[in-house]
Amino acid sequence: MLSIFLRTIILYVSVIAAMRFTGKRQIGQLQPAEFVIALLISEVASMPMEDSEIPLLASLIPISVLISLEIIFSVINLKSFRFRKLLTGSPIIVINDGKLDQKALKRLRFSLEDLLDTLRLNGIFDISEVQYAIVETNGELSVLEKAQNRPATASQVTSDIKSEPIPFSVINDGRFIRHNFNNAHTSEEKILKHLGKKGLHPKDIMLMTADSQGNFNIIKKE
Amino acid sequence: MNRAWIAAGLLVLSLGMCIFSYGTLVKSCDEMQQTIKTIKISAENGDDDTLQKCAEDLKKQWGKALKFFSAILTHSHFDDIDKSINDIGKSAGENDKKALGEQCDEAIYYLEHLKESESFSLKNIF
Repeated sequence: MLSIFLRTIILYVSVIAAMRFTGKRQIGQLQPAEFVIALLISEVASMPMEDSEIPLLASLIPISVLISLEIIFSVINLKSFRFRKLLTGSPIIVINDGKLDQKALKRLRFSLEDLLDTLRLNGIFDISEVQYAIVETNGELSVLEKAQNRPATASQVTSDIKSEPIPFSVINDGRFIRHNFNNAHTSEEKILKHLGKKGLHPKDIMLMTADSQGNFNIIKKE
Repeated sequence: MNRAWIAAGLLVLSLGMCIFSYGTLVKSCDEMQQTIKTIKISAENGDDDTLQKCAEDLKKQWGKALKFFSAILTHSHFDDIDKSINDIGKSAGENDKKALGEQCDEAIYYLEHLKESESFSLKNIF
């Protein structure tokens, strides 16, 4: 049992390292091939956890091979359009100018109910309101509504648009987040000076954010 | 791009480990098969000194191989080998030459089977 405990720790670390090594994509954004790789890795990793007869190497070698191939293929994917098309396919238009492409739906084995469900989830209840609906390579549906049905954007309403700076955390639970100082165009001195004016100490702060225009927002600890 | 090179390195390392482990397995099996053949011949010729020495060598070779096999093979794959090599040691100790011949043949067969099951062949791939 002790060996299973140790094996589980080794496999846990290996799987986490392998998944970190492949990159930051979320499960929802995985391509079908990447999703299958993730499933395979979990399956291969679980075998020696359950059965102490199976050596750890019988799991670690397939994991490293799968991860290596995944990374090498993703690099080739970036470089070669043909390879990308072969591996992930192409996006397919299923609604064009309010008209349903039934052949495309059949080719995708996408039922009308699936399409209508996804449109409703996007807030569209009438196919004729859709300019384009495209089934992406990961199976998700991207929808562009016709211009007359789209909500107005800020640039359509006013010409006086200012870019909004992003607030960055500079203190989290009383600790400085120094790697955000450059992004927020601030420094420890500026933060301490601002806190000093309010009679606060960094230890009193739950969250403090700063943006590039010198605005601070403070949430004190309770 | 660095990641791709690391991945390529990892792939080569994995392949290297597989080739090395197969090479070491074949080498260990060959050595043990040779020792077992010598045990069998010694038993047939009544050469007790060589028989006892080889039985001792086989025990050492198996002890060394067992650690390596445990790291690369499913344990049930070499249970039969473990049993027949232990039987050879027991029969050699008791000087039971009749049983020894059969046990040696059995051990040689199991070792050969292990080599075959790990070899890089179409039969094993598919």
